[in-house]
Amino acid sequence: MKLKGIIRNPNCYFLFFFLSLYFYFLLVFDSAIYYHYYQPIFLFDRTFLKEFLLYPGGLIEWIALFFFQFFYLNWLGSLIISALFLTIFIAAYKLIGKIGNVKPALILAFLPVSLLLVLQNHYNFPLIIAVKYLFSLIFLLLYIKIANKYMILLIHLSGVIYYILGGWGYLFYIALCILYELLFSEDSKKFIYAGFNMVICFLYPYIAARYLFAITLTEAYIYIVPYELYYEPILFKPTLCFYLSYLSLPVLMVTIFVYSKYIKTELKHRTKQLSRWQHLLIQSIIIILVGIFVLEFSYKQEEKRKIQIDYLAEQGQWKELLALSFEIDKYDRQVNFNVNRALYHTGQLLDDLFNYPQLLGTDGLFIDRILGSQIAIPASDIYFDLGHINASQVLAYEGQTKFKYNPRILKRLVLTNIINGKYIVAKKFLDLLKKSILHRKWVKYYENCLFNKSLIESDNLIQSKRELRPKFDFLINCKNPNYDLIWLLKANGNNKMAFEYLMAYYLLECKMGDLIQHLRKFRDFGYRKIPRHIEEALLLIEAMSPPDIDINFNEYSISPHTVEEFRRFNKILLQNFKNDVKAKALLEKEFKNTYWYYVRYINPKQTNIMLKERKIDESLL
Amino acid sequence: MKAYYKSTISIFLGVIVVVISFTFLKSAGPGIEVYTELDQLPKIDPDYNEIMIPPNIAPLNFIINEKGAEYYIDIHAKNSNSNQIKILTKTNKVIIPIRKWKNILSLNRGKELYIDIYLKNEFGDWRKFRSIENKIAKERIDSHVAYRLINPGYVLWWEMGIYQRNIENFDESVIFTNRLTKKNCMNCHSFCKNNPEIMMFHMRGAYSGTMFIKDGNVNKINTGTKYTMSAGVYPAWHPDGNHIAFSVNKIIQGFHAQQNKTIYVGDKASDIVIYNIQTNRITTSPKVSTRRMENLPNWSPDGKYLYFISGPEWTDKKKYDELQYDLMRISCDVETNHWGELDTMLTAAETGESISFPKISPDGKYILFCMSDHGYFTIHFTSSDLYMLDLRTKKYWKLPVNSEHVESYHSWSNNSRWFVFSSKRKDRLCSRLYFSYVDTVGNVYKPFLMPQKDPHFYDTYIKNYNIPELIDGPVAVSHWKLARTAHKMPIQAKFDSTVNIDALSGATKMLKN
Repeated sequence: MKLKGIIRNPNCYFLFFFLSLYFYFLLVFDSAIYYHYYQPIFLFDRTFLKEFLLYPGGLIEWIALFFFQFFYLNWLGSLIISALFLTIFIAAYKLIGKIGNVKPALILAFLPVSLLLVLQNHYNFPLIIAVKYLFSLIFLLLYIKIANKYMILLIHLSGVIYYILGGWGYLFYIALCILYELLFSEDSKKFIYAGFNMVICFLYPYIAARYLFAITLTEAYIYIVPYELYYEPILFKPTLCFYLSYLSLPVLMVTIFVYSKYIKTELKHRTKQLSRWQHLLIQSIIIILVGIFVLEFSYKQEEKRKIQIDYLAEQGQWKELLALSFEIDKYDRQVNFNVNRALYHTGQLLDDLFNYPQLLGTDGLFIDRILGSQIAIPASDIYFDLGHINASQVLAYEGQTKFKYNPRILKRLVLTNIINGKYIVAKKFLDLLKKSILHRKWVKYYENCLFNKSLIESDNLIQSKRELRPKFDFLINCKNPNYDLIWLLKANGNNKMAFEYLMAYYLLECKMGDLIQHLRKFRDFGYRKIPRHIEEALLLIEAMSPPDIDINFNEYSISPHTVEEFRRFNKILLQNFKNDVKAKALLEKEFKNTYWYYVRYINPKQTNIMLKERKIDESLL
Repeated sequence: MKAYYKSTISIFLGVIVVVISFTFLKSAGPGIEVYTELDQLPKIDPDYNEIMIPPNIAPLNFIINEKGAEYYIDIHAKNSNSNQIKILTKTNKVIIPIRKWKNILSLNRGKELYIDIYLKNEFGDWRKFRSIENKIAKERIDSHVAYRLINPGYVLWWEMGIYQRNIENFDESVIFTNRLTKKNCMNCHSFCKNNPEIMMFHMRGAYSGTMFIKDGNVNKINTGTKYTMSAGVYPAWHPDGNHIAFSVNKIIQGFHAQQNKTIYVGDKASDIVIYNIQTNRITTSPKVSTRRMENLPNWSPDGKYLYFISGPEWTDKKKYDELQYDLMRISCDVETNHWGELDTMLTAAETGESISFPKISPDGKYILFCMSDHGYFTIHFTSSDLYMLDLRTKKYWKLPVNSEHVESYHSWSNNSRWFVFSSKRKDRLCSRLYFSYVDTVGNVYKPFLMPQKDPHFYDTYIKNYNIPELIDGPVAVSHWKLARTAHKMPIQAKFDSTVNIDALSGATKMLKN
């Protein structure tokens, strides 16, 4: 009896739903990864709030950001997102309860939730959409509750609701209100009310764009998320599933109306009735099965790994990064870029550079040849690694232009300004970061640094970067980063990373002459042996040089193993010189991580793979 | 009996009200009677000490950077007890009530204004700092300042807009923002004689063109022609409101690798053209479209002379940081398109520095300009300072308003008694607006920061106040109207076919049909 009692209570199912979702988000999705991808920040600051009040839908975004910042902690983020979906589930369930007494209410309520879950399962799906969805439902429930008594008040309040929800959310809310009036309201004036709703649905956004806010008409009517989310790295795009999730509730309402009015009584006579607990049990089993299918179907492990790679790069966990990179199947430029950094930091750059397919050549080594704010953070990172602090700072400022409160960028600007001795500027960014509860500890340390010379002098990061900085000025050249590397080396002969990156650049660009010119530097930097890929390049140079030109490598001994490998490589090539496809297949098995293989088959000069600027569909902006 | 009780209660309540009122008035009213006088000025931020205050400016709210348990602030004019502002506060943030502030300023034009600051220490003793002495000017400043708000990034942009601030209070409103035009770039807003009804600004990228606003009408023009190296860039309205001189430029920029410098912005070529709004025609003269680089035009208030800067021809051999500009002028009749002879006003050879942004005061007496060690794009040069040239004596001098940081773009008020300029002195990163008074004989007074309602506002505000332009009233054209025109295709400007210029000047292209 007790068990039956529990089963009869839908709250048990909600609890079960919540717990399942919580563990899913905690263990599989990982809310902290979601946080890392978005880098949300919430500032306890009037100017920050004011920015959100300047357009309809901003206020709710401000509220959502407050919660989003807690995703920094996986357990807390998972708790919040699970609670959010639970509330949507309950709200949808309540709505169905209000409009018709149908048995499979649980399943029906789960329909929009499952569609939203499919969307939310992608890391680039903005949290704000689910939040707005929830608020639309809550306002609808409120409407249903008080519509009959206070319709005039509600119509006036509708303006406030528009301001809170913004274009798209409001459109959704009004559509549901109109449907409710037409299908379920018993009020004699329901057609008038539906008409009113229709009119204000057009009127309020128009007034907002025309007189109140500096927004476009498109934005006034169908604003979904902030502009920047349509661009990289988020690249939000409303998909079919997105529209279905919004369409699901109106469809449900119509279905319930048709069912209640025309089918229910007929079915009652024909079918055998299940008891309430049986109904609930069957529904919950279906929900579990659908839920598992939905999450399994929509989850993209590769997406998560790519974000994890970026996270590990930010944390400087290079070995873990390299290990994870092997689990990524498809080529990705940012992964390539971070793998190269990791190879340098683990001392393997010139030995294992071609373990990862360098499909874009030097565009995998440097990322800012085509400048865009989406690559500003990684580009700033590589220059920071190199001790090219001004370049790192320029890129950070470019990033800040678009992602003005991104904590990663703000922290970078604190560091570059401290390194450059510009403490007043650093303090400005520290003051800003201090307004976020998440970063106070970090801020406190560097704030102390500003007023404590000995603390700065004992800070390894700051000191090491100060030592690497160029000792004289030159103009930064991101189109030809090799020039910068040469300048960095000239300006500071101890910059080992600049040297290795320069060598890697020459390898990838197949600039053999330039490579030979810098060979002596290996001795200067204390290399005990020539790195593998340099050996491979030297053998290639020797093989490709005309016989009358004598290239002297006597100074450098090339390992017999590499010589033997080169012979074998050439042998396979010669044996299959009429069948390059076969040669490639055979060589790939043994030599795909060698410089020779890169030169012949991967080098973008051979493959003609080129970077393209991505075109964004701006129809919704 | 009932009446007796009623009157007793009324008297009792009356007494309570009187006692409470008296207590309240005592605490915030007559001020502190027992205190120790300190022979030092209080540290306040922004620095509003020894400045000339416009009689129509918003309250100069400030922070007291002195530790205290309580603060008492008494703001009053000389020999005036009737108009006092008394503030008792436990925080060091001083927010001055706007109505009382306006009252005190309007009643005391031309008089001194004192700010007395008392501080209660942890032992409960009051101390009084030396009075902050300022003076209220007789002449008002233009009521609004228009500026562009941009992030500190150098190449990319995202949120950007032209805003106007009513400096008589704290209201800031949008003139136009790129939220309405797919986040395109917009720049170089300019007004004719501080008139908010005659304005222009450029739009780049999506919806590119130059927006002209005149008497409520909005037009979008493509000022780029196949005969000019670029569309119009740096503008200067002719006083007649029908012509605009533009520079046309081939702009380059580069970033420095060493920590003391950031960015270099310069030109490879530049010329000057004049656009006639009524005929939609662009013209120029061989005298301002030479192999040299003519740039940053500005008209004399009578419209007879065009002032501009002129730098040597660009060559790849020349180092960018050695390029310096002279100040020139040429007479020009815009109606007949008759150009006089070039006149050198001030050379870089004389000053040892490069001249930039010449702006003639509306009374025609002075030229306010920048000088820096090289180039003309001074907003990134810490060496940039403000100078004044007396047009009668041809003497120039460095203004006392300068700091060791960037001082750059500036604009005169309509009555020539005030100017606004941008400076990065406050946080070394973002340009902020400073106002300064100029008396009738050319003395320039200590500048003060544009006040904000919250005096902490600038501490964490990361946007530049770019191209400040004083205007006498708000721009009335709505962003809605501007957006509608912005979304249309621009009208193509025509190039004056009678002009014949050497196409090899490297500047204006002459690909005549």
